Order: sequence, then C-alpha cells, then structure tokens
Amino acid sequence: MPVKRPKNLLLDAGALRYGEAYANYHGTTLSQLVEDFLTSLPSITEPSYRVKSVAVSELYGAAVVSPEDAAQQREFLERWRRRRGRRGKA
Amino acid sequence: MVIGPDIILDLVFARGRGAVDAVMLFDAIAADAAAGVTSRRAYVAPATLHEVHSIVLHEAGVGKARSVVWGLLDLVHVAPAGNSEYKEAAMLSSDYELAEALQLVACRSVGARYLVTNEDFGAKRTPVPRRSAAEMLPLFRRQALPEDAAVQV
Repeated sequence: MPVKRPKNLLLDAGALRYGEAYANYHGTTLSQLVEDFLTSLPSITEPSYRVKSVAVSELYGAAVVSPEDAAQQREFLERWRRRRGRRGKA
Repeated sequence: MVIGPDIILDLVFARGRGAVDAVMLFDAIAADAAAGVTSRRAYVAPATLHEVHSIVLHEAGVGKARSVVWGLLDLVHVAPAGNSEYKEAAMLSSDYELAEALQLVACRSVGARYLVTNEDFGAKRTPVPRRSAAEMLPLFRRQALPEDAAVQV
C-alpha cells in the first residue's frame, strides 16, 4: 500500500470550502480529491517526444503484445513448465 | 544511478505516462554511452534483469525476453553482487523484499547517488534517495556536454 504523507497546503478559502462540500457530496475526502488530481497530471516531460537512439527505439514497446498473444504465451509457458517438471521427476 | 525494474518495464511495455519519461532517460543514457561519458553510468541490480526477463517471458515470449535483456545490456551495466552484497541485502530484508534490497545495495556498491524508481517500497525513506525517471533528466541537462545537446528537450 502506498505511503501517505501529510502536507500543508495554502488554499483559497472559497476553493477550500467548495472542495470540502464537493468531497462530502461525493462521499470522498479532500485529500483524495487532491490525490486524484495530482495522479492524473500528464507527464512532466513532453508527450510527443521522439526516440533518438536506435537501441532505445528497439526497447520501447518491445514487449507489447495483444492480450490474445499474451494469454497464448502464458498457456504455452504453463505447458512447458509442466513438461519440464515431469522430466525432472523422472 | 541504479535503475529499478519498474522503469524498464515502463519502457518495454510502453506503459502509461512513465513510458515517455523512461524513453527520455534511456535516450540520455544512450547518448552518454555513445559519447564515452562514464561519470553517470546507469546500472541495474542483477535481480532486476531476472525480474524483467521473467515478466517479459511471461507476457511476450522467450524471443522478446531475450532481445529485451540483450538490448538493455547495451545501455546499462550490471552492478556487481557477490556474497557480501547478498549478505548486506539479506540484512535489509526485514524491511524490504530481497530484490528491492539488492537494488539499494547495488547503489552502494557502485557509488550511485540515486535509485531510479517509482516504487515507494512501503517506506517513507530509503537508504538511497529515490528519483523518478523524469526527476533524473535535469541531471543530464545540468552537466551538458556537447554530445548531450542532442537529447535536450
């Protein structure tokens, strides 16, 4: 579970009142609202960055496969491990 | 710096917003390697390679797992880990999983100032400061060498 840390924030009184009322209405907390907002921020770096190095471009997304292929791979590995287990016991 | 497995997995699985940060970090590392800059080498703990290989193998097959490990070894160095490093990691294993502890020990063994990871390890502080990939990028900008200009954004 992620560690929660206390943090003092200096907020506009009106914004704070509205935030608390909004959180109360939606059954959540002001801290959760702030956390949700912060975690939804886009990357600090530019999202349209183009890879420069050939080595990095080969690694970027290198393990991305379709869900079907991933499931097939897991099934294959499972069978392979069972076969290897049988050989080990023989 | 020592790079944690989560950053590498962001890169190879192109996952989430961390993927772009990971790409930029590895691009900067690649530029350093090409320019022969050795003052900020990137390392991984030995267990990190096992972890990445295992996860990619599980999801994408042996061919991709092999090429990911191969490609990584062109960019990062594996931190040495002998008996003393494993013993040190074992001493930390009451607070961290062994694989996590090995990353922290790797930082000490190679003299790294930062562990690059988004993991919090369930702890407020770790023996070595943690930084995200995005937080590491200014380090490459600050010590800009002529070759590094190519990776500026």
